[in-house]
Amino acid sequence: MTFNSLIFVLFFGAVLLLSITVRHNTFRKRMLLLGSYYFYAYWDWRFCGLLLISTLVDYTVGLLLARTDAPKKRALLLLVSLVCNLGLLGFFKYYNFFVASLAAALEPLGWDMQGLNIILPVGISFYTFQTLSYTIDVYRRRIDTCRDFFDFALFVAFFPQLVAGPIVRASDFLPQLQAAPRVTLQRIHSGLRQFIFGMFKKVVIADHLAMMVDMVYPNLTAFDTPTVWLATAAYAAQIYCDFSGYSDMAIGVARMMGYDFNRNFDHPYLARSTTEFWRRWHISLSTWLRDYLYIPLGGNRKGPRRTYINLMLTMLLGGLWHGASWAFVLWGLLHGAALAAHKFLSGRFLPRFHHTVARGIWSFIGWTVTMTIVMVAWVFFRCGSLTIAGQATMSESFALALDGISAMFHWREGIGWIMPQALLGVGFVVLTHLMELHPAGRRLKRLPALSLAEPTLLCTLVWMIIVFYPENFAPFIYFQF
Amino acid sequence: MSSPTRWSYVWRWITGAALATMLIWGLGAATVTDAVPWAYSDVAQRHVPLPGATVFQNKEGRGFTAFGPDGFQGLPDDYASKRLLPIMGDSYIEAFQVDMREKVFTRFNEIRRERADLYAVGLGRSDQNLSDVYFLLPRYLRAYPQIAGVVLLLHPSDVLPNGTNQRLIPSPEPRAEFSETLHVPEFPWLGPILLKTKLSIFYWPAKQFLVSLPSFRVRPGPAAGNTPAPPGFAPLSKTRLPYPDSIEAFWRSAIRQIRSRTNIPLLILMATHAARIHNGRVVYDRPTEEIETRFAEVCRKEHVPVILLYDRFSRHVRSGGALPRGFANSRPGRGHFNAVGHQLLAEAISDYLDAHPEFLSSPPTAGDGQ
Repeated sequence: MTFNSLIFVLFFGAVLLLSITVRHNTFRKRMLLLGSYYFYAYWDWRFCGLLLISTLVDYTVGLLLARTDAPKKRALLLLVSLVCNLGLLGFFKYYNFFVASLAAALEPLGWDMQGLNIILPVGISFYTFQTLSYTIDVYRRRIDTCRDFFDFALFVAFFPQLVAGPIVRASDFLPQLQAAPRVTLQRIHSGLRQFIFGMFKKVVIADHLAMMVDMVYPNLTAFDTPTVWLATAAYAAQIYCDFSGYSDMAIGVARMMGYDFNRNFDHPYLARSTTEFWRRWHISLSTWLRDYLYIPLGGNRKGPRRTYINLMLTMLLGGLWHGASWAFVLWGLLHGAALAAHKFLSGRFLPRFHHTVARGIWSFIGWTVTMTIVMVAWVFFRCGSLTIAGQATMSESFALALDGISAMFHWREGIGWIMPQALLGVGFVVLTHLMELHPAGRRLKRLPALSLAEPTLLCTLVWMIIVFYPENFAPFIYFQF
Repeated sequence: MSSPTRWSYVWRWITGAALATMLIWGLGAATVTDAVPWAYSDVAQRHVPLPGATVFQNKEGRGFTAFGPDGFQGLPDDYASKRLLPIMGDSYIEAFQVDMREKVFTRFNEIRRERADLYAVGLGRSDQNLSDVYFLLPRYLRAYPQIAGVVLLLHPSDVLPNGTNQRLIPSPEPRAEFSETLHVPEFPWLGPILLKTKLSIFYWPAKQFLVSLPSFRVRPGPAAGNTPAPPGFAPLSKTRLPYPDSIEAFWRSAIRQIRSRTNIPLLILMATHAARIHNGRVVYDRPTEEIETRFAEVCRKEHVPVILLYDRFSRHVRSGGALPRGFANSRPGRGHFNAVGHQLLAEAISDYLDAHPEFLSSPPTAGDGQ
């Protein structure tokens, strides 16, 4: 059941109706919990057990942490949570990867290894990080232990963010469950607006960009340089519209029911450095990695060299979080290296301009360099997805990525395909980003809620979603992570 | 958001929805593929695009198509004084994706402009195949005596049993017969939209509604169409063919059935997938090679020339030419023939006529009965 399906619209319509009519907060939360498990079971009911195990482990660890002050015991409890959660995640997500890597390494010796075909439970990366953040925060005494099991279960399984984020912190969400939220017309209006914008980005932009990306990427070697560049830009736009579209829909759905999630994207392609990019892209993941990985590793408190290592390590694990493929590892390393380089340069060599024009030129140079790095990293990322989809082996996807990057920077003849839909899709992303640069553009994007213009725009978007709805099922890209 | 009165809020949404609908309607009129206005043709004894109708296709490719009388494309005003060479086929000849200036008959006429011995016209309809030739050709020849010969573009699937109107036959059992049914006009844009929105059960009633109300279309053609079939519509009787002791026997019988109805010079072009992109390379596989060559051999014995296009198409791509299928707004190497494909078709026909000047002058003899 994806947000962009008719069955979800029916499901959510029923849940929203109950949310509005059921005033008693406890009943309301139980109903949402049931609905969330139904939503998850709709994918594959067998994985509800995993969700329950993760919930039970962290709920119990949270209760036990509240009962003890002994540092060793607390550390042991935290370790139990980490082992259970990361063990499940590691098994389901990385088993195939390690077996395949081992098999590839042993093949020259004549050893033939056969592994199990493990199916990745949808959303496991997201809810694992969510439950971990709760346990770590309780361990650090930053939040109180949640004593109501059903509240905690709802925090883990709440359907808007369950399968593809945003990664919601317990400190943000659990307090919202204490009192019955007010479901007002304003909230429904605002949530619906965000939901429609998100679905438009997914259905009309991302799914149509996929047509070019899905053709070009498995066949990168056949296409010429402009086509590879356009396909890469199309992929950058596609993954942004797909993932930020999902986040918008999740935030909108939650808001309609009276709950607030934090923003997950903030015009990432305006970033003038990779550091800024990660403040704008998948914010809930980047802040999670910062708070629960980078800072515990020492952050920037242990000298420059250790800071660079920490950045590289954090991004490497961030890459691996996306999937078990060397291409994701390289994607993470590339971002880590860019973050470290920016850290290194910004402290020493990056000039500070006081003149507006000079500052503008310098910003443009920074933006160009950042976007080039981001684009090159997307090539690795997309080729890594080929491995997950079973369209290429790890070595093939790696070779494909290198070929694509080579084609981007060395002119190559080949099949040319400047697809108009891709230009339109990329143009849409460029336009929405450019509008954010100017106050007039920002005003235009935030139409007065009660003007005639907004219902007209939203109805037009709904019409376009209906007309351009893809013939074939197009899952969200981040479901595979 | 300040709190509006409930009615003003609802009223704004109703007005907004109405404005959005008009906006989408207007955008659709400007961009969505046109509906074809249909008219009944006494010559073809079936529905054909209304004479004077124009179609703008925007989905796969981006082309403009104009129809003349009886479903012809590119028929000149002074056709009575010309030797016509209709190029028949299915949607590949209908070619909504390709602009009139780039279609096979236009390119053929350009290539042979100086000789001016023949004038090619298009006569294609989606889903037509070998069986349609049996019914259509004699009628067109009676109405247009200027026709000097016919080129027929076929796909391997067009010459297999059960290829006849296979979409309309729910039974999977093989059929080996030519049978004529009244073709129901279709709306190329309507089906995909309803399929996309999972509302395909509404296709038939919607189609009937649009048939009865042409002005309700997103973008109607220049004239009203959809005249119903006359009461006197009389399909020709079915023609049973032997099936399938050998596929050759079926083909031989099919060609002889066609030959029994007309003796006009007939040239068959066999369209195949010559080149496609796979695993980052252009591959030249030819899964239907056996069908093509065996069909061509039967045709040769029946004195019907066949041009297998594979060699020409693959040679063109190997020498650095563009893929003959696919458009800027669809996947390269897949789908209908693009302008390059149409140019190659035109060259193939022209080259054949140059190499075989006797083709149009000497009517074929009966088959040798192999």
